[in-house]
Amino acid sequence: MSKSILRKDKVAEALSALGKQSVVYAPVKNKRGIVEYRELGKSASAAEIELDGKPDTPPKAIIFPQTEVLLTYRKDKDGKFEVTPARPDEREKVIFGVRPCDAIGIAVMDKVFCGGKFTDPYYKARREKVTIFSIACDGPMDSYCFCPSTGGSPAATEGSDVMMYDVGDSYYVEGVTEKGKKALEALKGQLGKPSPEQEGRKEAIVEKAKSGEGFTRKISAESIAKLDNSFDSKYWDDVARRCLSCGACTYYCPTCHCFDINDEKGGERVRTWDSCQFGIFTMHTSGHNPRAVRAQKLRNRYYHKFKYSKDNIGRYLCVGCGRCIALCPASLDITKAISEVK
Amino acid sequence: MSDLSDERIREEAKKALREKGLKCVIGWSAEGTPTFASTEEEIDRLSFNRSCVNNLVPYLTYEIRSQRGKTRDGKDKVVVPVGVVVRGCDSKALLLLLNEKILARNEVFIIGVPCSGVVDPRAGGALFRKCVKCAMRNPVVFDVLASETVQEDEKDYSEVEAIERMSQEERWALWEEILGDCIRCHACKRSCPVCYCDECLLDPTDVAIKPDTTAEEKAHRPLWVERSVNVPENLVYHLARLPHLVGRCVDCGECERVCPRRLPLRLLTTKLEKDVKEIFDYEAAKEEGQKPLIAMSCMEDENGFIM
Repeated sequence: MSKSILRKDKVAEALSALGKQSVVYAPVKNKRGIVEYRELGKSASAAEIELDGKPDTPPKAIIFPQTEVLLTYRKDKDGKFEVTPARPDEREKVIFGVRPCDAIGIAVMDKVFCGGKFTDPYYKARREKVTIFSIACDGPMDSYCFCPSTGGSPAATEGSDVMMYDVGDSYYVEGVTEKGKKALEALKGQLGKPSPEQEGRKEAIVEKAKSGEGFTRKISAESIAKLDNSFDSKYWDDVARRCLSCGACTYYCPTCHCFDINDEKGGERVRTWDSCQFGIFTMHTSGHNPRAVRAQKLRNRYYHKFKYSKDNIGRYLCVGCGRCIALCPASLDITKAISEVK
Repeated sequence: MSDLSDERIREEAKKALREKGLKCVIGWSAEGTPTFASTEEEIDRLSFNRSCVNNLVPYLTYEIRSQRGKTRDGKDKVVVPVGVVVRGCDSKALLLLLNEKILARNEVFIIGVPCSGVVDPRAGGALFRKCVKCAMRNPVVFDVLASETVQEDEKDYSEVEAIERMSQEERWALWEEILGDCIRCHACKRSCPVCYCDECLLDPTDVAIKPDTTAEEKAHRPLWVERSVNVPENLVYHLARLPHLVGRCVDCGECERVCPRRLPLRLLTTKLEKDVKEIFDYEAAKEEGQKPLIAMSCMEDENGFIM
């Protein structure tokens, strides 16, 4: 069953079949119109899911939550500390309806948390239980998309376990990884055989994706290469002048993975998302802050996305989803900022 | 609102740049992007239209305050004045900063633009809700006005009044849900024109530690809000901000505009403004030289909420 068809009117049925073995997350529109991943059956139903556009939030928080208790501790009467490590979430999870850029985002985070010298046991425990069902995009989903500029593509399979292609009234479904093929076995009752016409439509999506057709927002390799010699450029002062140093871009980024760990009240050691745009991020206890001003902070974000990560993990940390552009209170545009590097 | 006002903005900005030696003029580009123009050529890019959504006052504060300090012989550094283009709502915030002596009148050159509302990019071409009925369309403080003043509306309190009619339990449920959805990216606080403190008790992501801060000062830095993002911490962050905004918030709506979670934060600030008006008969940034509300307390003030 590695190549098959899932009719759109059978999606709800398929989700409940998947839900028998796993917790299923899918994009759902919230009260205020934001499309974000919700746990089906708990906070949303299959009828509410929104599979047609790019969700407003990436699925990163399912694997890397914004707030995560790592351990709890209590001091007993004798002054001894009793430490209890937090138990990892052991439930199998399916994330359904992920877009290729976001799936790549998870693959990138895998490299950071599990790919090198060190492994993050909390991330790994959660990640191993996750199966990703992605839907290929038919060109850019909105005017902010620029995945082809970052090594991605509207039909990229990296990070996905199952790929689905919208071929009209059905999805053409293909298992990418062993994990994905195994997950599809649970859907035998819902999947059918693709017709030659459906095969053709799927091929057309893949071909269109290769061509990069339809994308108006771009970053050229030449401008990225310019970063090598632009670190000390005054240009960054100009770009960052309108940055407000909030964390909207980093919190909505599918690959931003920086975190802070604090001991909080009640005896909890908590890991939370951090942001390189916040003042305390690089603050030393001495009072010295190597990235004290907006330009240094913003430059770091851009360099981390397009240079340091390439040097360190061999790939850009930007997947071209464009959310940081769409959500920036100051209309900062990463594609413009990199393209105009001086 | 027209090419005419654009011409006027540019003309006045150039004149002030030459005659007053401005460091730069902060305005919007034709696309609505905040822009810093420090040459006549750059000034030619300034514009005002319905896509100019940002309140530019936080940038003005930053540009001026970053020039402050002492010279080597202990004198105050000279601040080069900065120009800014403001709509009615922005001008109220700017007036508050002038009244609070955060900025000095001679440090700013103000080009006012009467405004008939700006478009919410998330609402597909419709005006921001705050702009539909607006009682502050015309700038209240300015050196020059770029166009004719426009008709203002009565302030619309209907949404706030609907919440006032709810029971305490209903209101609790409402705010628990809304503020529980906050991710504490701090965009609301960073874009707020009247939030100018170097350090904020409610913001654990920024500290005003300097090389000369002592170890003791650092150890005793109070932490009112944990880094954890959850309902109780979010409630403290948002609700404890409000007493700091009493009689100061002009309800410009920037916090609501920038919120990536689209939280209706103006429900809080409009309520604040309404209460200040009803209880203390006070309006933030009503006129030049106005005393802050906090400096005007008297025995006759209502204090039923204390006892």
